[in-house]
Parts: sequence; C-alpha cells; structure tokens
Amino acid sequence: MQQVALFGSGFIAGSHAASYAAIDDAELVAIASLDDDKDEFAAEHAPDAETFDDAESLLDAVDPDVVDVATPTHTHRELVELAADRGYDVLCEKPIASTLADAQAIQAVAEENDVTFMVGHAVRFSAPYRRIKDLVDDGEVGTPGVVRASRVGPFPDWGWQNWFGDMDKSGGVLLDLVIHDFDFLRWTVGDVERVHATTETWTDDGDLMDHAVAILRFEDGTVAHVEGSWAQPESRTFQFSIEVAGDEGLLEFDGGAMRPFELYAGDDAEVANPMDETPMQAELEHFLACCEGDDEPLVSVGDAIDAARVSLAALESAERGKPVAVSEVKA
Amino acid sequence: MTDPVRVGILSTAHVHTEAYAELLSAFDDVEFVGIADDDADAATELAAAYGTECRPTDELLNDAHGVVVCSPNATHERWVAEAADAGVDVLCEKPLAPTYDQARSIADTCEDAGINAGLVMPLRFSPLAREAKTRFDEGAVGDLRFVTGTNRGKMPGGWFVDPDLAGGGAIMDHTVHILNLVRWITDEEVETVYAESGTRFHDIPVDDVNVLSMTLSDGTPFTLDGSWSRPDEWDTWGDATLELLGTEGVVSMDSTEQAIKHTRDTGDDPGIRSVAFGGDFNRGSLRNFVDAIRDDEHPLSTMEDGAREAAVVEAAYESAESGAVVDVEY
Repeated sequence: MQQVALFGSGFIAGSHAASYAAIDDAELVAIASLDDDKDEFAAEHAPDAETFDDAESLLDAVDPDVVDVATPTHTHRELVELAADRGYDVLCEKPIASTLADAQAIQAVAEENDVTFMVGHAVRFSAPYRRIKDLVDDGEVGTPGVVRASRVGPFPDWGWQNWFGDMDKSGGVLLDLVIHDFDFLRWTVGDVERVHATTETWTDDGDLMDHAVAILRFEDGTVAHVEGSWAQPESRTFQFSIEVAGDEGLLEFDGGAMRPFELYAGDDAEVANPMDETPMQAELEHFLACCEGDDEPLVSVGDAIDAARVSLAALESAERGKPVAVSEVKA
Repeated sequence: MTDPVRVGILSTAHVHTEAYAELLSAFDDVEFVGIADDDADAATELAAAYGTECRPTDELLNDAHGVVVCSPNATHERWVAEAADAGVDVLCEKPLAPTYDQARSIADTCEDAGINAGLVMPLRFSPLAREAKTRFDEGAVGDLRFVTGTNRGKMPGGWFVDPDLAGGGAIMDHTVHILNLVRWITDEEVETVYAESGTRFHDIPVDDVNVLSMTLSDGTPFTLDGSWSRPDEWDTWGDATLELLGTEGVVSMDSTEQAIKHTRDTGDDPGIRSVAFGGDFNRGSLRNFVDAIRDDEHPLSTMEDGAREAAVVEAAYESAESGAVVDVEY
C-alpha cells in the first residue's frame, strides 16, 4: 500500500483523489490546502485523511510514500522543491511551471535529490490518444503531414481565487490547456521547430475568455493546427478532437461527437463514456509503479519542459505577431 | 414563357465540366448552345452526351448569352477575354487566376466590356452557409473574435498539380471557397497571411499542405486548413467547415454532417462512403448565373471577389516562401 499526500483541494485535486480511491494499493493519507474547503474535500474523497493548512506542516507531521502536487501552476516550483528536498517522489500536475526558469529549477531539485518525478500529462494515458499514438508508430498513416487537434470549452471558473483568469499565473489556454496536445504531439510526431500562434482574449464578468490557435511546424516538416478555447458559451460543454493525416492514411477522433452511453429520463439527458479506467487513474497507477519499481516515468522531466517550451513559444508568437522558433525560448 | 437563356461552355478541362453540362441541359429555361475547347474530341464527346454540339469558339460566342469557363486556372484570362470581346456574360471556375495581376486584369477586362461576370462559388448556395450568414447577421455571435475553417480534400491530380496550368497546388485550389464565404459573411477583407505549406502527401510538383493563419480587416484572426490531406479512400470528397466565435456565441457549420453512411459489398467500388444530402450547390451556382444573365446583373460572386481572393492566395505563397507574415496587397 502506497501512502499519498496531496497538495491542493481544487477541481483537479478532486480528480486525483477520486482516482486514488479507485486504486487498490494506494491510500490518500493527508491533504494540504490553503483553501477553507479541505475538510469538506477530505470528507468527500478520503474520510480517513488528515488535513493541513499548508504543505510544510503536512510534511512535518506525516511521512508519506509519495507527494502529489495538484495546485495552481505558479505554485508548482515551491511545492515540488519542498517535497523533493525532503526526498519524496513527486507527481506534479501539468504544466510543469509557467516560466522556463521555474521548470528548470524543478528539474534540478528532482535530479539532485534523485527522486522519481513526473508531470501529469494525462492525455498520454487517454485510451483513444494512446491508440492514435500506437497507430502512428505502427505506420498506419504513413508519414504524418497535417495534424489537427482541438480542445474547447467554457472558461474554468472553479480555480482558487480565479487563478485561471490571471494570464500571469495560468498562461491562458496556450499554457494550461493545449499543452496537452503539444505534449501528445511531441510524443507522437517529434520535436517542434517553430510556432505561429494567435490569441483573442477578453473578459466577461471575471471570466478570461481566451481562444487561441497555434500552428506548429515540426522538425520533420509535419504541420499541426492546434486550437484551444476557454471562450465558449456555457452551453458548449468541453470537447476535444484530433486528426492525423499522413501520406498513407488518416486517423480521426472526435470526442465531442462521441455518445457511447446515453440515458434519457424525463427532462434529464446524460451522455457518458464509461471505461474500465480513466486517464487520470492510469496516469497515477503508472507513477506509483515507477516509484515502487525501476520503470522510468512515461513523461520525463525533459518532456514536460519541452512541452512548456512550445507553449511559451506560442505565447511569445501571439505577442509578437510572428512565428517563433522553439529554440528561441529562453525564459 | 420568355425566350430561353442561351448558355455554352468554354473548355472541358475542369473536373466539374460534366456536372455543369448536365445542369445546363436540364434547366427548363436554358438552351445549352454548345461547347468550345482546344480539345475538340473531349468537347465533341461531352456535347453528344448532353444534347449539344462542339463548336468553334467565335461561332459559339456569337450565339450565346453566357458561357461557363472551365479551363485550367492559367488560361482563364484568355477564355474570359474572348467572351468579353464578344460581349458574352461569364461564369468562371475558381480561382480566378494564378496571380493577382492576372486576376485583376480579368476583372478589368470584364468591367471594360460591360459584361456580367463572376465565379462559380457553390458554398454560397449551401443552406448551412446561408443559415450561418443569417444567424451571424442577426448578432448570434456578438462581436466577432475568431474564425476557423477547413476545406480539406483529396489530391485532384491532372492539370491541378501542373504548376504551369494551375499556378500552384492546395493553396491555389483550396483557399478561396472558405475565404469567399468568410468575406461574404463577415464583410471583412483579409489583411495579413501566414502560411505553413509543403508537399507531404503526394509525389507532385506542387504543395499539398495548406494551413493558413490570417487576420481580417477588423483584426479578427481567421485560420484555414485547405490541405489535400484526405486519403483517396476517404468516405467523401472532402469537407467544408466554418466556425465563427464571438463574445455572445458560436456559429459552427460542417458539410460532412449532412450525409448518409453507405456500405456496399459488391460493385466496382466496395467499401464505406458518405452520401451527402445537403443539396447540389453547383446547381445553385449555375442557376444564379442563368438568372443573372436574364436579369442583367452580376452573379453572386463577382470578378472583384475573385481578384481579392487571388491576392490572398498570392500572399499565402509569398508567406510560405519567406516564412514571414505577409500583408495582402490589393
């Protein structure tokens, strides 16, 4: 049984906690959060877990096997440093950090302390995406030519102190949302040479309406059109899709059009996609297995930094109105 | 019943020529007066199939009220000039010409001749596009903030991949449909273009990757993927999608959704295909031309539209070459 300490009690922390509850040999033993809702959070997800007002007092009182950092991006560095310095293996939510300097500091502390460290790029653990990666690797589309990935929905208004709405903290959709696709495409296609990105951003009653398209040119010549949005009306619930077109074939997956399970009762309608295992559960099981055994995490710290580099290049391109080489990103 | 409108076809090079011949022969109020072509055998064969004749160009132009120009892009200028000289109205295949200068010259020729002239733009006759335009005009999206479109297709082959006749590849062929739609719906022009292009899918001497990031005159970003990226075995010819995002909402259309999935075990072409039921937009475009001739007005998509769209295509090629964001020069 691996004992897990969780930092954070927000939306994604809830998803982590629910996943640990579904994993037989993991137990969520402690939760640290700056938010007042942590007891309520613990009661819902892990009634036996102790709660703490901050991460340091948690680690002073509890000695878990692993630490899970599921907090806002701009707090990752401080919390990973705290845990890794004390020798704990750390899982950190994506993106690794909002600046290259923070990301590199995280890499340094993880390496110095020789801890197992992984950034939770959950899309690598999503069944349809994983299947697409395997098909591309097996040559089922031939050589990729044009990729189209999309991830759109309303603004995430649940962030602690509305941190998603602060571009300096969240980086908007280019850093927080489509980094999923940047990581997946780097894994599946290869390194990105340059990025041309456009963003349109406005606020609506505190919500950061942010819509962006990044056009990536990979080193092998493949072109990708990656779209991310927090600017959709509430009625358009979150949806994602991906297509990979190559010289011998085409893969198309549209999560938004997917209705594998439907339930209609009176005024209520429910569409679901039940699976044996959620991507989050698969990600956490993988990480725990790496901590216990000799396997290397599927997402290396270098991968996490390189995905963030694509996001930072995209943000810079949007700012400058011209394409930016990923190698130009220095900060 | 008024006298029939007399319509002919100039050149049979374009893959749509037969569809147009079929439509012209079927319209009740049209007399399909003939086909002229450099390739007399092709014209004779097509004419015979649709109850008309292969005729010399000057003779056909003396007899016709209007002609549909179905030549390769590079020779639109010659055919349109002959029709304009004869005072005959013109509906020309898209894109208008491989370069902006040529397209502008065609538009000027038509204007000087005082003929009614325009381009085949089938999507303007799609009920989906009309619905998008209506809802947009009603303010459904609020202030426009982002436009994304796709017009991916199969690689057409033939003269479409000959740089001398087509003037380019996917950027030349698959930019103007959605561009025309966006210009119509938003009433904005394209100001800048950034293009990622290349030849990734086929062994051809022109581009088959066409991914564009543009800026409209009101500052709205507009991205378009018009690559020839659909496999030959895909279930339909290609797609046409458009999404308009604004401060109040989103309008989204996708032509491939109006289709029936058809699987067949037998025959020459077994497998799965999509059978579209959204309408025959070529019919709409030809119908509009016949009505324009009768009413003495330009078709819905004018030569001016064609010239402006050619300018965007030229800027896209310049961007693909230089790697920079390019200002469109009209």
